[in-house]
Amino acid sequence: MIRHLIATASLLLGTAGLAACGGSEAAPDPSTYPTKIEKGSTLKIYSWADYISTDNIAAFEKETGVKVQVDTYASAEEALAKLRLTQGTSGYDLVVMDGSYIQQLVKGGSLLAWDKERLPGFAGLSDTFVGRSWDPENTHAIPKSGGSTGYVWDSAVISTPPETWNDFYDAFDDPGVDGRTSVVDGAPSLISSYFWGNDISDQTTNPDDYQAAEKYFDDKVLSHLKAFNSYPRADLASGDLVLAQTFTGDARGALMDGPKTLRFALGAPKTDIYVDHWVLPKGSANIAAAHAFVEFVLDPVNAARETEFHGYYTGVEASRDELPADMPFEEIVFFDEGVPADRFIEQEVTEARKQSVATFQRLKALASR
Amino acid sequence: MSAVSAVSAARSVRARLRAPRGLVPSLPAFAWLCAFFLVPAGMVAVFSLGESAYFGTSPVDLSAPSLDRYGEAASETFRIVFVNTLQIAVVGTVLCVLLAVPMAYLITTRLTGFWKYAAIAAVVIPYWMPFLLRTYSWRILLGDHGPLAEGLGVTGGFGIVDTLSGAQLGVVYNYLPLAVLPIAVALDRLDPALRQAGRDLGASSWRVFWQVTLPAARPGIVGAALLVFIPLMGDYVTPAVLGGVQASVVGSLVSSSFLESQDWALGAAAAVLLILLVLAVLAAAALALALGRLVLRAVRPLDLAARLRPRTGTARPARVSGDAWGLLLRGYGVLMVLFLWAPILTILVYSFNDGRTLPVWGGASTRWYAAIPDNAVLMQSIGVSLRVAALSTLVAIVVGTLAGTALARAGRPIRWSLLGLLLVVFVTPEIVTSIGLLLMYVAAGPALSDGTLRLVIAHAVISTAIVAFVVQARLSSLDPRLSDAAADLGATPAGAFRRVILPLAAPAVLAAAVLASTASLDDVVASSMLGNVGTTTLPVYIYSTLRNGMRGDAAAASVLMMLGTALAVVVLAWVMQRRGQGKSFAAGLVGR
Repeated sequence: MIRHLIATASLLLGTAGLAACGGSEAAPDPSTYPTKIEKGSTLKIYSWADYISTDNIAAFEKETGVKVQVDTYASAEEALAKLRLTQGTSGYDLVVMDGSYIQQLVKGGSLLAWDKERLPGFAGLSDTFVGRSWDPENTHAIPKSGGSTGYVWDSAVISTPPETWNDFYDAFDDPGVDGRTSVVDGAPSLISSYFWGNDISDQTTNPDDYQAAEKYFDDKVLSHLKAFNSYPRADLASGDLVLAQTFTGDARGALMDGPKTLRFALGAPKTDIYVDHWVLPKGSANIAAAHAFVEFVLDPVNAARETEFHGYYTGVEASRDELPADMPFEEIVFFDEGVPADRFIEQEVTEARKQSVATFQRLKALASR
Repeated sequence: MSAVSAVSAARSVRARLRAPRGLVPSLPAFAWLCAFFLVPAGMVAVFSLGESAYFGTSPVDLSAPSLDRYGEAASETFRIVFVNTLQIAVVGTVLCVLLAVPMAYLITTRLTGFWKYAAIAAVVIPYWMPFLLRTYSWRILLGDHGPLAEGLGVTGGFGIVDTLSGAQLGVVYNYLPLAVLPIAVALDRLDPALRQAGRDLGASSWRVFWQVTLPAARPGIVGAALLVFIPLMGDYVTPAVLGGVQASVVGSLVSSSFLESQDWALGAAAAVLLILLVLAVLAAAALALALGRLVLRAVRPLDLAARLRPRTGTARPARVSGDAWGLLLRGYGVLMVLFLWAPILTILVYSFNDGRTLPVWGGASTRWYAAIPDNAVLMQSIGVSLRVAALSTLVAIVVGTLAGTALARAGRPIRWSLLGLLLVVFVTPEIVTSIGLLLMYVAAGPALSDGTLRLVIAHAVISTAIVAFVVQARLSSLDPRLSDAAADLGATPAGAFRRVILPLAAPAVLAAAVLASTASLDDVVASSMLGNVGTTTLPVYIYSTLRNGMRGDAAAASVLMMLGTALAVVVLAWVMQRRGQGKSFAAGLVGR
């Protein structure tokens, strides 16, 4: 029975694999992509919800006569699994994908290269966003928007602002914050924050490092922790939380909605950078419109509209002049301003991911004791 | 040879030629679940023998099969979270059943006419509100600085959100209708004359409940416990939303192995381990139940119930105590409805929130309602969700009702293999089925490329099990001689099914349809993995909005969808009643 199932599985995987080979053998040269934008065609985008300005979509539709159809995923990992498995039959023309998964998709032959000739707006992107390790030449991935990770605290409760990750975790011991704290619900953010704070590579595969991380969090953090919560915005705003590890986008939301005493700082001495990218999935049936759309949102005026809509920096430097002067907490939106470039580490998927997640899962189990 | 013996000889030949009892109704379920569950989930199970690869086209390398992943999966981490989950699930199941029995009893024995329908509607309608919203709503309502704490002046809050009690509250809330409806349809089978007879013979209300009503409800209670316990062992969203650090559960471990760590081999091993353990727990529970019944049967002559109450003369005013009991029950019903509707009303109120996001109040406004039409993704997702829910419910009803009949009527080999298969379907973590189905859809090519079809299949696989268990709960304690009698009167098996079994099962089928539709409207994992262009469902959309701060338009749209669904069902019931289709739709739900 098992042998039979293995055979069936290999057969099915083989079919998918063959389809992949068939496609990648003839990976088309970007200069041969169709250039004509077909009026009345549909551009099928796969993205997070509420992540592309509806005004921009309407304007693009009006300008080109192309209808934009957006579908949303519940997590980037589900989208990744789908693109890896469907091998060109996903049906989407343009996908928003977290930078850390680009290498897997490229090596799995799931993406098409961009025709950069058609994306002159690419030149206007900040160095913080382009040329990152996940796609050094930006052959397959064009930055869409991004952010970083840091901490939010209530200065009415915590008098000494945390300056580093170690300060931040030291503050968990403060009686005023006990049980009013949260950390991001994900291994790459939590486990790595120990490595960022202690000068260890977050791609380490040394088991001792993971044991040290486990002990660190077990000793310092778990007993004071309220929740693993990736989006603590509402709880910070209400005052249920007074100290939390947060992504920049969520931090800004908390500061806008919450008490005036909330503060934010970027993680130090190192922290991560995450950038969502536009990628062309293999099998994209509307390549011309996909290029046109990406170029459309690389335009500074349109890029500014994107930032106003979702609150993230697009990396289009000239878009900053197009944004209203009184945009709240713009220092969080433009998180990279005045920050040395080497402070940001790209989140990547390597063999280290398994150890990181196993440590994280163990911490979650320990926290529930 | 006399005519009589000729007929009986012919009948015995026919009996010998006839397929084993229950084979025919079980066949669609076997075929359906083999094709869309066993093959795909089996493939993923095979992954547990391989090793995961991050790069390349195949996520798992099966060139050197080994059992190493099982060693890795059976870690201390797994043990801790499994025990946690088991605790939450057992407590949750017991609470759900305890809370559901009086409610079901109230609905089926004490309420009539309008109030009966109103009570059923009050139980069912909240569950047409998307799962994440109704769960998240408790966070808003009970937050330490939430409206209730502020309103009641409780400084420091209730301390429920992000604790084990929070998780427990959430799971009881989310799974209550899965307990109430099966018990109600089982109880409803009970002829009211039986309870009256009990009372006429001088038994107290309590004794009638204990000796007449409860035994009748037993199949419903067992079904309810199954329907609550099994999904609870896999649910990780409710504990994550409401349990904080205290509620680490095994479903989250399996899911994060598949997604965050992308270690499909390890995820598959953990899933297989989980399935085996849950089946072992179920087997142990079944054994304990059987033993308990043996013990009860042995001591029954002593009549424990009677001993618990001192006998009083027949002059005891039973009626007064009965009324007090009824009043108490009605009060309980009101409290239960308040509990079921509290988070729904919270969402309703917050959908009129002028704030940037749903949970942070920023004054009253109707702007989110006005914004719905501008949100094309949201608008489309509602249509997709309703379409998929309707179609998958339809499929599940057909296959599941037949399967439920087979479960109740078939001979032992068929019954046990079907029960085993349905349990495995229900126990298997959704991520496993979803990945398996995706592999299968990709391999099948254009034949299975339609997004709606993909979702309908995935949803209907899970719903089939739900429907089968609910239908079985009603049919299993019917007199098995009913269909034999039909056969003796010359009915074909199909005729007996249509004219005897189906009318008897009707209330259960309707209740199961309600549960199947809510299961479909709640689904995220399979919908997100398997949908394609133009088939984003409402729950997937709502999950996705968490990342950028949950906006109010999805909540506003969900309120409208919930009310719209309720209205549609009421209208449908009214039309059916007007057209004189025997019993009314709503009456069908409760049998009278």
